[in-house]
Amino acid sequence: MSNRAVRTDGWLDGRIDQIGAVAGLLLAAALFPLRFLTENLFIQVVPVLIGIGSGLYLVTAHFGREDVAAVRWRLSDLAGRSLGGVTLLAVGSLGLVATTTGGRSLPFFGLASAVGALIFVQVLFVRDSALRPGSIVLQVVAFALVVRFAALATTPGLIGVDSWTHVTEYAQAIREGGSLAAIADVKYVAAPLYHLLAVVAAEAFNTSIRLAVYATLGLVMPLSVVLVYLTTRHFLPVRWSLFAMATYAVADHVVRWGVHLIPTSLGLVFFLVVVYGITKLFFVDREGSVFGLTILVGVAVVLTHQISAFVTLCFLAAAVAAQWVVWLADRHGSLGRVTAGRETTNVTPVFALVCGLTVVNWAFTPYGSGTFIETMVGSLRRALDGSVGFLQLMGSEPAAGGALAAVVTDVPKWVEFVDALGFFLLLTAVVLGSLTLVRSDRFSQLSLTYVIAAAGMLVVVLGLPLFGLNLFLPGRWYAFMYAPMAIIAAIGVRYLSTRLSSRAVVAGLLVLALVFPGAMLASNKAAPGDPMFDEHYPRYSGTSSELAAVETVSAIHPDGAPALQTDHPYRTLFTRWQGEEVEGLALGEDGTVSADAAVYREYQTHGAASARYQDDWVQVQLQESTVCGGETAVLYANEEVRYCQSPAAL
Amino acid sequence: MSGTTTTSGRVASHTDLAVAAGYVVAVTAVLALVGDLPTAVAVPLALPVLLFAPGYAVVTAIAPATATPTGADGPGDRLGVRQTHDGLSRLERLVLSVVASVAVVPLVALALDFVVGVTLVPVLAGVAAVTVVSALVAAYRRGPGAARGAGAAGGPATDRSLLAGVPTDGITLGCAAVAALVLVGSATMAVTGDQAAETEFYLVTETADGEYEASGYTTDLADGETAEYTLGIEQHSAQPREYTVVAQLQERSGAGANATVESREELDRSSTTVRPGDATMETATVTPTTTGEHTLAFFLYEGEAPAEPDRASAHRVVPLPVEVT
Repeated sequence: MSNRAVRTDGWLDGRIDQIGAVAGLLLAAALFPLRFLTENLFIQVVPVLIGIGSGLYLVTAHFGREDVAAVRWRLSDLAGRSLGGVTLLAVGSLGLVATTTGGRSLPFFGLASAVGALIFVQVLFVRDSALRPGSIVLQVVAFALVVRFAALATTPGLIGVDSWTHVTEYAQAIREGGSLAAIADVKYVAAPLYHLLAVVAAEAFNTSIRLAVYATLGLVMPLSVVLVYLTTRHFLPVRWSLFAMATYAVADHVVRWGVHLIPTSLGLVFFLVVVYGITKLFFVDREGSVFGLTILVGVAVVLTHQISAFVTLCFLAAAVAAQWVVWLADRHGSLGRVTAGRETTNVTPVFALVCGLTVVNWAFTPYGSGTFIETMVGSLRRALDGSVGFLQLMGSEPAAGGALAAVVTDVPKWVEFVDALGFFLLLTAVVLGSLTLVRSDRFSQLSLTYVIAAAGMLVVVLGLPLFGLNLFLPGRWYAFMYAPMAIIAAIGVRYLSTRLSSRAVVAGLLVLALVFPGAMLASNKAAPGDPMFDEHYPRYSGTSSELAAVETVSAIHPDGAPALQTDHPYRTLFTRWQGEEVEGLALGEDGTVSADAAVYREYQTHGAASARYQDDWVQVQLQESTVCGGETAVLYANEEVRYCQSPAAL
Repeated sequence: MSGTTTTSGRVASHTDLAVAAGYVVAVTAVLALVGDLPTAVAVPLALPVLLFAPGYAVVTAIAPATATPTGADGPGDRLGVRQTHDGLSRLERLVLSVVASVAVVPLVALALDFVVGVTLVPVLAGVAAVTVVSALVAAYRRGPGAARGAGAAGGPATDRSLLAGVPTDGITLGCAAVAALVLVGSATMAVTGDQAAETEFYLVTETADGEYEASGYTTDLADGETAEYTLGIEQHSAQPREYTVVAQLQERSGAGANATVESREELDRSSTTVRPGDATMETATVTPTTTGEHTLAFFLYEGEAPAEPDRASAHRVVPLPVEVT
């Protein structure tokens, strides 16, 4: 760490934030016409949010008042304590509601939203002298724990798709074989920490791998949100550090990896420590300890999950880029007084070490027909040569007409909007926070690190898919991206709260507290095993009837018979859990299904199942008679599931 | 590891490190000597070994210094921006210990996989070794040498930075206690509550090697001749249950959802007791006497079946198209 003299002769002296805001407005204007080319909600809304954030920043930067007296509208000590007590009681009630209503029901979502709002109200409105960080941290962790375990404890089987492969195939194989040799041809042989933790825990607890994962990683995930608080605490006051932690704890994708417990989850925990370590490096005189901790978890993330390692490398690369930008700016004086990085630190060794280890690891990781690096480079080359093109969006459904339209279902625009509302609010705050961070009095290597990291991740998540490039699995990046985003958002909201009038601040923060946590928790990503909009977003979990059917039908469906057909995601249970080859239900032009062997479940009539139409998946609602009707023989039946064969296949 | 005298003259206790290392060693010994413990005992016993103790020793070895809240971060103005961050606060050490544990345990397992494979006792022994060595390093680094370099080093975490923020008033403690009780009660209900009494009913044939599969059905029957069908019944309640299976030959008109049953002929009826979790194979013997294309419907009833079984009253139905000639 070094402290440098402040320069005052740069041509961008003090104006980077405002130039950034103008650039944001121009970007929003440039992207705005895309709404006329696609129905994609994100493409329609994100430019507007960038424009709103940038415009709001410009207006408040010019006309806003600094440091509005906020004490008048803050809650008293007694009110703070009472709210804390009520929140804890409500957290306890959440468990009861989940148990009595069979999981994450509408009452559960309602109460969870209220609890989230109570926490945000305390964070934002309790006066300084009454704000007890330990109490809020306890409430947030307890809330995060109950929300996640309400899903885990009330769902038979596992939540998610990949979890079945990791738990019932890879980890089980290691446990039975007593060695990693059991997964020698799988890429996780070179990144086995999740599986080894699961196996060791299962052996130590003398229980199933599923329960072992819940009792270890399931507990670590809600606790890990504290790392965001600890990170933010280095440079923000307690209130806004708590705000960043609470924002992160209720974020949809963060909740997702707390219930869909796979290597991504463990990778996310290690990533948070890397972010914490890189941040702490800027605030210590003796860097050795922090360096050591960061390297330890850097090694761990490489040995846990390839995507997590790649995201971690991207964050470290952002830190290195920020270091170089500040160095160059300081050298040339181009940023004038805003430059100089009053606190700079050399993060290149951390990046070099983790990057080197990653390359070596990937060079020996089996994947596809070669190593992980070879396969990924080949896939990237094919992606760039082939499918990439502007507005080639994944998930665009073919137009359905006639009889087909009667069974194909669309997600209503308002449902899509509500589902993404939490992300939209967060993104708007991030635009504000990013501009605040590059303001002259805040600009530093660390602030630039966060801005570059968040912007880079947003490009991967929102930008590359515009060109049909989904090779980097952007859906996996959100939870990682939310860490810097939550921190930047706290800075953005804090900035606004000091710039607007007291009434506007109270009204805005109250709306934020009441809407944001509920919107995030209601997102389908936060509840993959039991979405709130269950007719519009798929349920990635099985009921006890569905799981029983998967086991029995897989056992009795004869080898060599026509492949089973069923909906997505139900078919993944057959393939990943039972190793049964199952195809998607093939939909004809007239909306009928013709399969020699099919599995119907009631979810296909009332839920958000998908069937194949031509080369695409379409969301459908099918009657039992469409799948197992006519002259078919129903050979298996339970409460919710039928297995049928056509007479020709009998 | 009882204590080390620091430059400030006070004794730096290493009890925390001794407890962490000792606990891991003790649990390893118990699991090695006793073997499989009941899950209810094993989970609380082994959880600290997997989620805290090794990480605590490793983190303390790497970062032995304890953070000292200073300046704006002090109790007088807790809302100020922190400026001094050398060392770890209690909360930092707690969280990092948990994360480090879930890194150290599988890393040890990975290292030992090349030697003895992934087996519990050697892995726990390895974790215990890492914990003990880390604790010794941590104790050494906490000693006078380290204390000279950083004023905050030289002892276990003694600051109250986390606890200072936890309220101890009656309202909060009372609410926390009630919430904890409700959560424990809810968890108990979730674990011990009645499971859905799921019943599976399916039609199979027995293969030459004694397996059952959904193929090879007799669909061409001769008038007046007997055929046998195998029906699987599984149920997942807590108690054995009585079931009745009825075989009925139906003459239908129409197709699909619009099909209606014109006539019914009961061909067989039998009862059986099915124990939870077991697949009971019941044989239905039918002798049709009406020629033509029909549906041979097998009805499953919980308990007794009515005199005139039909799809609406049945618990489960599996229909098979057949032709009687």
